[in-house]
Amino acid sequence: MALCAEIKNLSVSFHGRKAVSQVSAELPAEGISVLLGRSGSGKTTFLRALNRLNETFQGYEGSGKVCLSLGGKMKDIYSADQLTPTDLRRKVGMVFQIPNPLPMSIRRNIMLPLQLIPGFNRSKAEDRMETALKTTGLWEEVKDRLDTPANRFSGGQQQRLCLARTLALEPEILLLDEPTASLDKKSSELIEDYLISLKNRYSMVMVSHNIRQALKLGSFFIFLREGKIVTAISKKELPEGKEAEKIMSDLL
Amino acid sequence: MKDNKNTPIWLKASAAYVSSLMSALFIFIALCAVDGLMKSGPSLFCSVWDPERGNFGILPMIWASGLLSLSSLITGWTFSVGCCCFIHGFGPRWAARFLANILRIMTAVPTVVYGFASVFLLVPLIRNGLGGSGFSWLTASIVLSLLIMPTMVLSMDSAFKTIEAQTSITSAALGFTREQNIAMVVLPASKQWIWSSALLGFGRAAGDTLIPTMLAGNAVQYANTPLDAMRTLTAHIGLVLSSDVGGTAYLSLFVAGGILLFVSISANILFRLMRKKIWMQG
Ligand SMILES: Nc1ncnc2c1ncn2[C@@H]1O[C@H](COP(=O)(O)OP(=O)(O)OP(=O)(O)O)[C@@H](O)[C@H]1O
Ligand SMILES: [Mg+2]
Repeated sequence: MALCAEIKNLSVSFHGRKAVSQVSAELPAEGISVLLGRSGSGKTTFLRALNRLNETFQGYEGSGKVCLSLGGKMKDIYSADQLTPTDLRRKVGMVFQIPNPLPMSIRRNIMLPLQLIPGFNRSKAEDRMETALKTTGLWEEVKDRLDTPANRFSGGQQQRLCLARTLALEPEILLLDEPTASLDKKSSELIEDYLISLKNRYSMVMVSHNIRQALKLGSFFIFLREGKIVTAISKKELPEGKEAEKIMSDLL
Repeated sequence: MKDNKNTPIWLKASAAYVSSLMSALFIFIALCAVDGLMKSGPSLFCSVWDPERGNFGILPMIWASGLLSLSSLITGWTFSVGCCCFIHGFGPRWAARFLANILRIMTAVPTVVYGFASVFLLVPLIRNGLGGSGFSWLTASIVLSLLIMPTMVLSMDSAFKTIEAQTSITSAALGFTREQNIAMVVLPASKQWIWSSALLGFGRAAGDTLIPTMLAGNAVQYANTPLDAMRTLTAHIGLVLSSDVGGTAYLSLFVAGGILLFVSISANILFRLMRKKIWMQG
């Protein structure tokens, strides 16, 4: 089985308090891996370890090894000589729980991260923007309002913008931290559909609170409790239908 | 604001107190200024200040006030924006903290200390290094820009802090460095606060009396080079009041005061309009 991530003895603490302790896991490259667990069980921290975002917080301390499959090779992302955090975060894109457009127009939200890549020209960035907005079904809705501040759009539109912004960087791995948690049912379903359509193109790791959503999207499930992995289970090992839901909720 | 029946009486009373006091002040100055204008009329707008012969020219003072406050504002504001960027990520952490603390302490230093220290330190330096008496537009402008910096930096800083807290994780996840986040995201998003801090700075620079009195030389003339002495409207009012000239000379001071008030109010309105425009553009 091809892997997208290999995690060995990962521990993360903030201000001396353990958020994730001694976690080891192997995530498949195919399909969506879903992290499940109660609030405060370390799902977000685990996810942020994959793009080195934990270290931007105060009081961070971490140990262990994380290797990601990037450019066809397994790379140790915490070793200094392989990748800078900047390069890593462009290749490992992240979508957050609450839509987080930057305080600027839609156009600039997508173009600015691209323009900061050395040697990236403007017309290429425009093309990428259009493609990304089409991929998330936003193009028709916003193409006449590209210069409107992003925070004037609905929550669902903003979240699709954030997804588009991440996709425009052409990442190899997508991290999704409860991407539908702050949205209503209809917007959630829309996002879910786009994620399903993208799952053959990217390796994805997603946090979800919602077992039904996890079963609909995911093919590999990791259950966390108090910073430790309780079980890791693949969809093939689960029975069909209602029974799977019950097993999953028992594991939570 | 909506009328609220539950507003406590003491709140209403203090609101009424402050607004009536302010309007009384405005009306008083406006009336006296008009009186001054009627009595000394055209002799106000000439270049000679010689009250014994009936010449109350305040044009050089208007010129000096404008020149000094604008030059101090431009340098002080530029350095403030720079300081803010330095504090938020362009400088090393210890230096940033050091600078922030210095600026905080500076707000507590009384103006007269700046003036006093400059008379003994900066004035000789300029006299020996650049020539002239050392009491000049340049001297006053250097100290005044320093004086108005802390207020401007602290007000920009609070905006920077808020916006940086909102955007830093997002930007980091998109591959921005902290410097890039400041330059490309935080700075443009704090535009309106940066402008309004310029308004704050201008108010302080135009209204300050002590620094120009102590350091600008007070000669009634049009300063053409930075080393020339000048007398600002504020210094003029202070100086004339503390010597015993009476009658029409006093009334001419109200005209000077009225002009100061008018300028600061128009600046206020102008900046508000700009701010509103920026705000509406998002
Ligand atoms: N930036 C931080 N600073 C300090 N403590 C943190 C930080 N991020 C997480 N923690 C702590 O680490 C633990 C795990 O938090 P984490 O956000 O990973 O949980 P989670 O499983 O994502 O929870 P939720 O489902 O509520 O999002 C918590 O105890 C939390 O308080
Ligand atoms: Mg979380």
